[in-house]
Amino acid sequence: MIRSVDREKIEKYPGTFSLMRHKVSKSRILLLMILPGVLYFLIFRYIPMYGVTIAFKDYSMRLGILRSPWTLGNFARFFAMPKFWRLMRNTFLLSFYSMIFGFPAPIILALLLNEVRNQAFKKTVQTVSFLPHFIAMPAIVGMMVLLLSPSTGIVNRMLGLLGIEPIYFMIQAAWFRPIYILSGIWQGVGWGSIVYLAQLSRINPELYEAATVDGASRLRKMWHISLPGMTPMISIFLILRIGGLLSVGAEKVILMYNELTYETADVLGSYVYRRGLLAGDFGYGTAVGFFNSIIALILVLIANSAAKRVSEWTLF
Amino acid sequence: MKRVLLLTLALMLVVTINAMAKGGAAAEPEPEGAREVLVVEVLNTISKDRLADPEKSAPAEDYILKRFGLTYEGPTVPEGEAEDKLALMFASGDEPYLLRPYRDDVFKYAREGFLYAMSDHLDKVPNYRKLWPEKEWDLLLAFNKAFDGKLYCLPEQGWISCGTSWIYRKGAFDRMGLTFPSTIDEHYETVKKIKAAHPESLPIASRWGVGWAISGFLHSYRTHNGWFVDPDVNDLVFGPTTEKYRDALKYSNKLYRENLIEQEMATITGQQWTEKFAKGLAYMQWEWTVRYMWANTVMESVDPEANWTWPETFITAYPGKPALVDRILPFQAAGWVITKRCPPEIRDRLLELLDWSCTEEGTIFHEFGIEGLTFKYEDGKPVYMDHMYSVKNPEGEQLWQYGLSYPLKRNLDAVVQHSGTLEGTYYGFELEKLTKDMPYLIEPNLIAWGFTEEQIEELADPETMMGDVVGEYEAKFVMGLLDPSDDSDWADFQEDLKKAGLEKSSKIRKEIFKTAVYKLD
Repeated sequence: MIRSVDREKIEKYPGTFSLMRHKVSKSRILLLMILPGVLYFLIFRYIPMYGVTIAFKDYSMRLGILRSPWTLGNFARFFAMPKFWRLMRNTFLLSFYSMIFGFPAPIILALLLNEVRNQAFKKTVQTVSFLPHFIAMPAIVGMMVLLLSPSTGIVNRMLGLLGIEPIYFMIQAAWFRPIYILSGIWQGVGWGSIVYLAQLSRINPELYEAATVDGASRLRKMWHISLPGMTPMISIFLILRIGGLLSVGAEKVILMYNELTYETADVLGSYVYRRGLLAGDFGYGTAVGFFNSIIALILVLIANSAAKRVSEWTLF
Repeated sequence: MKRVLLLTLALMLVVTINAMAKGGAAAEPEPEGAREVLVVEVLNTISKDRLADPEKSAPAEDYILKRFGLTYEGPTVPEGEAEDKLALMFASGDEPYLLRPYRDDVFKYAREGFLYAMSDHLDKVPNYRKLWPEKEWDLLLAFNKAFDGKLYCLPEQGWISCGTSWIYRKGAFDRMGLTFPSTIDEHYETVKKIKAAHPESLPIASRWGVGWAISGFLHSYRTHNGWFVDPDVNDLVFGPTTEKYRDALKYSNKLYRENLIEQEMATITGQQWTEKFAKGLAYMQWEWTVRYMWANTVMESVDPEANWTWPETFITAYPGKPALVDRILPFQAAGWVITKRCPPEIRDRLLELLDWSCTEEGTIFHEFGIEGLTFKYEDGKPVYMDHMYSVKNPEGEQLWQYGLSYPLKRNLDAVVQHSGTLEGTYYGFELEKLTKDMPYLIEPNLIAWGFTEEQIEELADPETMMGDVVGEYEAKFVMGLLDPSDDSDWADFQEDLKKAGLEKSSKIRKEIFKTAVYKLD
């Protein structure tokens, strides 16, 4: 309740501190509720940002961040890495193909599941499809090696039934990217479809009824109602995904690759791991991470800007 | 009023959290006549399958407390998080007093000025010094001295000199009337016979990639897939540039083409490898020799008479010239360091404890435990009690459950009882007798190079690339994607090695090698 004194002040000084104080006072409970979250981000996300200066330092544990000498040597070493462009190419392509093929998959699954009328079947498919998300990466890769084994793997046995000679998939550079991407889709499609299904459930059913009355087929309804209903989510996720184009996790690559597949498999993360570069070398590790972050920021800005031209739904 | 209440509650919360963070355990009163209790700050790491039982480990902790007046305190983290935690502790000036890092980390901490120089305190560890004859002590110093020539750690003493060899299924060999081969030609005939008798078999099993699969043959051909001191020219050589290495690849390729060796060696998983043994398909393998015990256990259900063991001979490709064997340095790559954050009186007490651990009494404590609790004396020798793990009682309790493991020196009686055979032998000692007069593979880990930081940095990229090239071509040659007998394929390999940086690596290594220390005998 605004006291008459405050009202006078507000009217007299509409944009000043007193108005702010009044607003804070009015929303103090809400602000108190949000305070822990804000403090968390401030303490663990914003304040530690000063640590990025390690990328520009010849970091010494004894001297600490502030007293360690400045240098651009970490970046020089990074760009001077042998086969730097091959590593960048592989990193980019692996991520790009994962995005091209992997991004639409949960959307398509969500659209298809949305059309299923049998609720029990729908729930079963949903559950089964997102279970792989919880399997640890080493187990996933172990399963792939077994399934694709030229001697005992089920894939080669099926190929054998078709009269095709066994293929040793895991040692062929040409097969690395397809296997990486397909296994990623299998692992992530169910989990990724959850948020799209949630979005679809918010669409007014009357729109579908009206479309039925107008004689629209299922595909038409999907195209004109379901897909536009998911556009905000798709737009934002796509922008974020584009921002992560240079962020290929090295763990899966390291588990999957071998010397015979380096040509297509070796990425930035796996090379620095093999080189032992990161072991205790905080400056170098931060420089690599900082470079990735700058590229990610530029890509997000470009993607957001492009999205603004075609859609009202953007990140900012 | 509401505001006052809220503030009071918040203050109480902060005070409570602060009290919890500091820990609340009151110090225990000192027993009469005991030494002043000193607290050693450590970083405890736990492995999920090696968790000490607090009740069982209390007697050992109590003993150390009464004898040395030392007790340990510090955060506990899972093994996987220890490295990050330690880095944070050092960066925030909160590093533990005592730790056991690997050599490279010792050098790193020493360079940063974190550590006491052990060479300044050797008078406090006379029993540790006595462990090393002069030649071994010189070698220890050559490998472990830091940038300023000082020793910053006390490396653990090793207990075996050779740990890898062929292991083979002697029971099956005996049934087929075969003996373990001593030459490459005999080896080929033997594996052919095994395959003929058992078409589904895998005469030569392997794991860990192509390099490990052919490692035994590289030893037979007296070569190596990296830098090594070639006994045939008595000089530092890069193995993959030699004809001996090429011959080893040709033989390995022949075995691969005839399905006599693991066909999926490039990608074989632990599970696939174990399955081969569990199904009774494997007959021999180049391995850490101690694995013979595992092989017998895994194969027990399909072949209880498998009798996996190590052979009495190594396979040579050159009759008249013995194969190379592996050799382990007399000291481990890890050692104990004390940081300068540790007050001098605690440092000296820790040195006293570490030194005592090198005595007969100390090794018995660390490897047998407490008399009457974990071991007893029989005919004057310590023997594990019936409830404790030993080779006679594989289901028994482990010593680490009692919070014990050896810090610096092993008790050889414990080694035999814990990891030996029922007949009272230990593979490591038998292998030592077998290989003591054989030439050993002098590879980079057995050479005290004395690199500077700049040289290490200069070598890192070219040698990583060279390793990649060797790995790729090795796999292609062995698995038949390229032909090691084809001169143009071989020439491509050599050319790619040069592009990777062979000349730069060669220049630096050969220069340093002139002053490197590497003779173990």
